[in-house]
Amino acid sequence: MDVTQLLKGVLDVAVLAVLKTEDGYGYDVLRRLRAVGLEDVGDASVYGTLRRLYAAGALTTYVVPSDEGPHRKYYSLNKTGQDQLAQSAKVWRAFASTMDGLLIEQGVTA
Amino acid sequence: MSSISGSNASNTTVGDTIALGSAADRRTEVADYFAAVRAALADLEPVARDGLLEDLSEHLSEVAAADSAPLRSRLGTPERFAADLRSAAGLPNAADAPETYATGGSPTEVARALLVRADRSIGRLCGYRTLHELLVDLRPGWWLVRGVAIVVALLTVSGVMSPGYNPAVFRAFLLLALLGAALSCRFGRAVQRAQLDLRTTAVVVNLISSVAIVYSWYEYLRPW
Repeated sequence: MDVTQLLKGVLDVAVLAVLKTEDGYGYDVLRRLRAVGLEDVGDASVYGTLRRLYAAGALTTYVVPSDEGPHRKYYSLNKTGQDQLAQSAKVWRAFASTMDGLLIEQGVTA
Repeated sequence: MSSISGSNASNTTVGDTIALGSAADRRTEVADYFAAVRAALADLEPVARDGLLEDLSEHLSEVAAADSAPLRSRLGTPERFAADLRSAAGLPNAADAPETYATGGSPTEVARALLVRADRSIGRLCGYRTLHELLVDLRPGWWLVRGVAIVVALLTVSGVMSPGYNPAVFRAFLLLALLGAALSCRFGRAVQRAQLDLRTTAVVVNLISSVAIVYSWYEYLRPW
């Protein structure tokens, strides 16, 4: 199964989730996603998703000057983003449990 | 789901072995990559494009600082990066974007808009969405022609081969042509996969090949 196709549908939830407890800049978000196992998730996909969520009003941004390198734009979850995350998480859990149910019912064990 | 195979990140580590120069070289590399991504998004509305590019150069600098491999090795080609960026940001592909008829703007913008239109029109004529897509599909064909043409030119210049049939020379030519085509394809693939940061070398090789093709044509195929 092509996991990148699956990922396209859930990258929004993944990005919102890693920003839930701590704000982050683009590269940081990418690193966190990789750290939880989405190892080779594409830079452009994550950066593009952040821009889209920002444009949709789910994220707010602020700039933090950095001594070592370029200024960093931090993204943080606002109320809309939190609501979207809660809603998406519900949809995902229902979907995952339906799929699990189907596979168990058919005796498919991984 | 323990691991995701990325679409735009190269899985190779070959790039790690390519030494990059000074911090200034790295900045130039970031600036070049950024400019190429920007060019690939040229058809977007300025507001959408600028929003997408707003902090991209900072992001690229972060990537460059964290990883010594060339950006192309880590991120793929700028064109591919731009395509993934569009798709993730929910913006249309270059080929799906509505036609734009530039009537104003700077000469560069007008020229760019004309190029985009020509790209689509010629592409559609050939059954493709854009001419660029057709040329990408034709790439391996070019690699084969390039390899053979260089062998023909080298053999002719060195005096081994001349118009007229000579069985021994022809057998040697076939062998060398196969070898030349194989090496040319291998080089093409390596550059395409961005395993080799050899864009400039590739341009030089392609220029030499073009001269070789014209020369071979002149020596063997001219109808006069």
